[in-house]
Amino acid sequence: MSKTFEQVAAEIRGKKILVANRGITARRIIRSIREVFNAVPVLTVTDADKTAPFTAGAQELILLGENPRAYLSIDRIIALAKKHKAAAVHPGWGFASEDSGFPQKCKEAGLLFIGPSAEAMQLLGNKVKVRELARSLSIPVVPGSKGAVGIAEARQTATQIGLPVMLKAEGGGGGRGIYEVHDLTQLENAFSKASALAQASFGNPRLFVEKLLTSVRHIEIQVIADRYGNVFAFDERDCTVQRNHQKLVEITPSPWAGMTDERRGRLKEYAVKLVQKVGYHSLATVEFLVDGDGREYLIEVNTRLQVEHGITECRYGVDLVEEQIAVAFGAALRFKPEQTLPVSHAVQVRINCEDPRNGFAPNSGLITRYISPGGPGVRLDSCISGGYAFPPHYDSAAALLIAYGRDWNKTLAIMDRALNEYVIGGLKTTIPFHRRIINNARFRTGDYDTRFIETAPDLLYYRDVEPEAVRASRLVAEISARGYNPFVQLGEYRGQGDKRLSPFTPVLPFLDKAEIKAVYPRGDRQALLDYIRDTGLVHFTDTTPRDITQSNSGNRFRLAEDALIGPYLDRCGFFSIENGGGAHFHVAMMANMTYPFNEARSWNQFAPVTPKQILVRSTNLLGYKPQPRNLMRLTTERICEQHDVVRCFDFLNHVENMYPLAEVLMNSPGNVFEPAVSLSWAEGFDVPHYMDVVEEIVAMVAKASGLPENQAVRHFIIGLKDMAGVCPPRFMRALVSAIREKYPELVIHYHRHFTDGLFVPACGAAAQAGANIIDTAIGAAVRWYGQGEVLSTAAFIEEEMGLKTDLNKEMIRTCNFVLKQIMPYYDRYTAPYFRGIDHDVVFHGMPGGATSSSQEGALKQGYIHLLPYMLRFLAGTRRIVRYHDVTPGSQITWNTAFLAVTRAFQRGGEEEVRHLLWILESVAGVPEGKLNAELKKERLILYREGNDAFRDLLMGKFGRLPLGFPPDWVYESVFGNKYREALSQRTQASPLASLTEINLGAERADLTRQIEREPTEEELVMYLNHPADALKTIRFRQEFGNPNRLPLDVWFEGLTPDRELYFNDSDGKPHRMMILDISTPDLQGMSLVRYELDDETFTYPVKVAESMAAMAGTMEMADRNNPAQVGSPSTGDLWVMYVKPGDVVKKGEELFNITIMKQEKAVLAPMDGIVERVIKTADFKHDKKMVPVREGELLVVLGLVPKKCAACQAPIKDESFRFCPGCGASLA
Amino acid sequence: MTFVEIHESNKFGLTLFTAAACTSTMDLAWQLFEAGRLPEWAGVLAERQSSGRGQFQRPWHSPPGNLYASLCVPQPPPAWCNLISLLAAEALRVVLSGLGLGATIKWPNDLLVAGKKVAGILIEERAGTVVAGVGLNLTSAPMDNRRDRSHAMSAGCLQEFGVALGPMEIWGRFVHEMRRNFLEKTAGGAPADFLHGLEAHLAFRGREIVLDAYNGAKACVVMLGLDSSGGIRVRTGEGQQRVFHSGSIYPAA
Repeated sequence: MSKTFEQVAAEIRGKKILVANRGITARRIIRSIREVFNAVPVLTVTDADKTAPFTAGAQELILLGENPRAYLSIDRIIALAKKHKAAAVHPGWGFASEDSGFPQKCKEAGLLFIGPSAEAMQLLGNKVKVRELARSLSIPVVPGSKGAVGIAEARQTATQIGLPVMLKAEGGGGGRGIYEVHDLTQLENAFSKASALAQASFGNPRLFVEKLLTSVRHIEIQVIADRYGNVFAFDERDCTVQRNHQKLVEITPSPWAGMTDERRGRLKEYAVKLVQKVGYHSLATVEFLVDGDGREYLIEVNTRLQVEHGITECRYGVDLVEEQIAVAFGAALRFKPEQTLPVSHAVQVRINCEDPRNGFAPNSGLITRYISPGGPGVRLDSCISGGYAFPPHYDSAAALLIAYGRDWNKTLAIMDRALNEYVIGGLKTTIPFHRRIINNARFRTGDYDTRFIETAPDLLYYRDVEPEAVRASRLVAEISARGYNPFVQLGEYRGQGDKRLSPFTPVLPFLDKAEIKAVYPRGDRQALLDYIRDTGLVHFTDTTPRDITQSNSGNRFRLAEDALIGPYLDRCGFFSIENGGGAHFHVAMMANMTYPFNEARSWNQFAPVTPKQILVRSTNLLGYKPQPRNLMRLTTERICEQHDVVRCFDFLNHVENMYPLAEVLMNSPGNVFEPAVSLSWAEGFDVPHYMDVVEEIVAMVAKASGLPENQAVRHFIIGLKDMAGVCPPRFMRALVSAIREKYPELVIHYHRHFTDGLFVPACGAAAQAGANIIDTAIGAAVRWYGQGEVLSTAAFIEEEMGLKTDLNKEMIRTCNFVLKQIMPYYDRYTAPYFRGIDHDVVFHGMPGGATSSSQEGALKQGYIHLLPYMLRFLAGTRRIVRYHDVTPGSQITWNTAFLAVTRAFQRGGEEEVRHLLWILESVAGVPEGKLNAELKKERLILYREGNDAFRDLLMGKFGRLPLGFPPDWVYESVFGNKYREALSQRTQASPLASLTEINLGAERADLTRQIEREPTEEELVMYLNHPADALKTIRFRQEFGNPNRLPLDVWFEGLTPDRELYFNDSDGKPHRMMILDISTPDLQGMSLVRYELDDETFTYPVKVAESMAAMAGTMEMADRNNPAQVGSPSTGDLWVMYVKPGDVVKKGEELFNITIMKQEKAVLAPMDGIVERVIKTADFKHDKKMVPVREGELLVVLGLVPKKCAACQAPIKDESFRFCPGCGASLA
Repeated sequence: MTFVEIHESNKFGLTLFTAAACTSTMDLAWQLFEAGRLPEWAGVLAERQSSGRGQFQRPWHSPPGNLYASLCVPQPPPAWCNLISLLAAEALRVVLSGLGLGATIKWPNDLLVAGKKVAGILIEERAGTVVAGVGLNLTSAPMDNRRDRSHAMSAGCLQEFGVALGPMEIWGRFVHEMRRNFLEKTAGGAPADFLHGLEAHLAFRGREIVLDAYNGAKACVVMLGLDSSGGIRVRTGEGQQRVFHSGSIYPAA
């Protein structure tokens, strides 16, 4: 007699139903137990699971103990179920759900099993038996062996049905226990392995053989039957998206065009026939494969609730679990074809704690952030929550996410949106991978087979990055925990507790957008140069964002601050703003984590009017070594996009080295080529010498442009580059006059450093002699080693020289005001060690910022007392090996001087150094004839210590020395007895001549591999120029976002707790961050930063110190005369420390115990006291670890006994307490 | 507070305290020491213990029938102060040898007969005083399924080897031998001879053993002998000779 659902529901009310499972399964079933039935859900849990989030819905927990595999102990579970008076048991899916012993034993124990009978399960669940059954019902099955086979029969079957075949476990299921065999020679090996695996996994080693169908779709039919013969079949579920036979995405109805109504009807018919034949009741899923020709094959039947049941529930708006329970208790099936109708499309993705980009390796750990998706059409079945430590003992399933909607497109859109909303932080999950699948074009058409995932490797190309604000907050935490910024590469320039500069909140005077007038034409070289010539004014280039800050602020001036002053600079009336190149390109990546080409683009957005200028080196361009043509072209293209004027210099004035660049630029009508002459002030470098260089340059430009010389001069600018700032005003006047006389139409651009203190007069002299453009900078940033200040230079030129300029002085003042507010931060943290004007530069010739850094090097290595000698050595060498002191020449000279002087010192002290210098100064600049034999011998010692770069310079590997090769004795000095060889091999050819083109394809592949995604073209060019620092920046940006979002003080100092920081991300969205606490570093050197970002709280660990274990080298010894210091009585192992700081001990009480040779030595407190420090601790009984100690090593420090509370005698541990912590009495 | 009935007697001119039951003879000995009632060579013996202990406070199963006793040993000269466990082990071995049992010493302080552990020795030191505890299985031994991971050996008792002496009798012989050995050897000077002589009676000598070095690391090494400080000399898998002073050894499978 059948019962209705309502009758059964009334029966079940208040009864206990045990769910013998965990995780997602448990939670799902518990929900249905509660909802309509109001039955009592009881859940079995192992120790690992007993406080997990998914246990919340259960009313009672049955503890299974510490063995994680306890869910498989059917007997024990049944016994416990009986003990707890459960009425029924639901096995869920996985674990023992398809073990036919389970329903059998439940029956014997008088428990209702929510699932099929043991016989039905045995029949349909056995892969071999079900094939037999299917055949008998004319349901097609995959060709294969009739039943389980041995090796011989397997071989026979394989030969018969044709390879490839699969060896499948008879007791297996769910895609597990399948071995593919493609070659008969593999068969035996695969068979024994498969059998062993099957035995281990399913307790049944028997295998059968099936043909491996190659292009198939996986379609399954969900059915449910009651005890009275009623069966209902639902629409198909398409589970074709799989990886290693594991389902990833499940869809209903199938999006495949081949799923016609007719096929659907047929498959449902097969399914119904099967279950009816065995008198089945409960849920079952009949799985089919459909091949490329539309042939259908039954593969297996699952006699349990399945992971993907949810999509069927969403499609029809039903509750399968509820129905399954009702049916188990004897209700008649409520589902009928006329009433139970499909409504929605549904898709499920399995969110697993696996890293798809790392071979889907499972990971476990703490979920630090959790935001679940919601809204219309979203269903989530999860077993996790924020703060949950995902355990490693079980499968990696974290959640099942389903999207459902009226049609396929809507459903996919909902799924994409939900995946985007879903945040599981602290672990790698498959969320981003699923997004790639959902958005994949082939997936969306529904036209794919089970090999879809393997054949779409680009699914793995995604950036698993968190929102920029979260990443930026981590950067702030890193800086704040340390008190200094480790990424900016300035060492540990301050600590957490150091005094801070005030928060950076600059006042930015109003800028009227309408006011800007474009004076200097951009994009038209001719117009620009004509304008310079025609106006007869003196024009100015501003170097504040590049050479000034490179020379004086370690090149650390960020794009964030560029963006503050840029709009003002744009309106100052400058010919150009020098905003890139030189060492700035490299340091932007090394320390500021900024993409230099993006920086240049940003400049043209916030300062669109004024032309932009960049400095490049002849052979290296922006890189660290000479560039072959194809790379040079790539880099130049990028440069030309965002810069107008390209100034190029060669430290040897080897003009030929500039030729490739000249070719490209002269043929780019929007760009201006500015080859520059490197200037030095020394004998031999006179006006005629430099005029030769200028002539060479003019000839080169003519050749590159294809124009005759008299026209070529109208099409470029000649630069005069005095990097050390040594050429005096009179010299500049003479030189500029000579150039102006010979080439009246050539625009001259003068660049000088301030170092010798004669900047203004030199600029004045040059301007008066006819120089058209002068490099200057905004006053607030002018220091010692860069250019001079603009307004004072302009004043001198106008008032003393009577020349005219066209600067917007008011705007310059305004810009100065903004810059003034920025500089204090850079001055504090990035200023060079040695400062001040150094007129001696005239002698030693060290350029710009190198002046300080080189001398600082000497200081740090303990050679500061030798510095004057080094400078003298420099001065002397400049007269022997003649070239210009610009990068990299200046480094080479400096290193040579450093090495020569320090080695001399090591040989024979200061005496030896003085002797060395005496030799040098006796020889330098003195004609050969005037030297005696002894000096000629002694001088060979001078360059014995020359390093590789010096050797390369002498060999001509950098290019041709401007005044020819130095005398032969220099070679003898440097190369020793190999010097004749060196003389014959030295060259005057350009180093560019012998470079091979780089393999761009290989480099691109390399970079792709390193960053695990396709790089942009810019990233490639950055990488080709400076590989290590480019990678650093790319990875930094991925990890921390754009650091230019942080205000300047936070960038250098970090945040203190309780100060609110407001910042915008790159989309302009505002965010708020506040640090709540920075913990003191623990024994591992980790400090935990707890902070709020918008409305969430984060905890982020930062490693701020070496772990104490690493510092164990320094061991404290107990002071034998101090009874408060308790040391180890002998060398041995500390195995138990009984006390901890704060404990009050009595004299004679055991503090700790040392074991040596199995003798246990108790160490007793020598006096009454309170434990102040415990240096080492151990607890062998619990953690099986001992700590080695040495005789006399300090282990415990005691302090005097604290006073006691008069009322209760409790010790008062802190002098400052006013009330007793024991009884509350006042201590006054 | 637990009351323990103690009987004091004087045999061979040496004090002996006996009790029917106590927590552990070690506890009792220390209590007596603190009360100033434990002279050198005094012994404390109990029929059964409720909290018998071995090394690192591991439990020592103490049903009636076996020997549980502690001995107050004087402080030896410095060269010997870490060798007390070996001295005691040797003394016990001699006693067992006198009973016809060929015992070996599993370094540093267990005694084996026919590969089974029959006795363990615990040396505790406090405030300059040394107490040596002895647990010797006479009529019963813990069954195999009581084994925890640290004892990878099975236990035996003297009765299964045909020895049927009572605890008082054996203890007397032990104290006598221990005292004689101690005074003779420590007066003689350097321990080298003693240790060399001991090597012949070391269990597993020349065989492969597993050394559990108390820092989680277990190594398979070959036991060579003793070094001059009483540590075991072994040859490692890489062929190096090394000396260990702490750790547990048991035979490699």
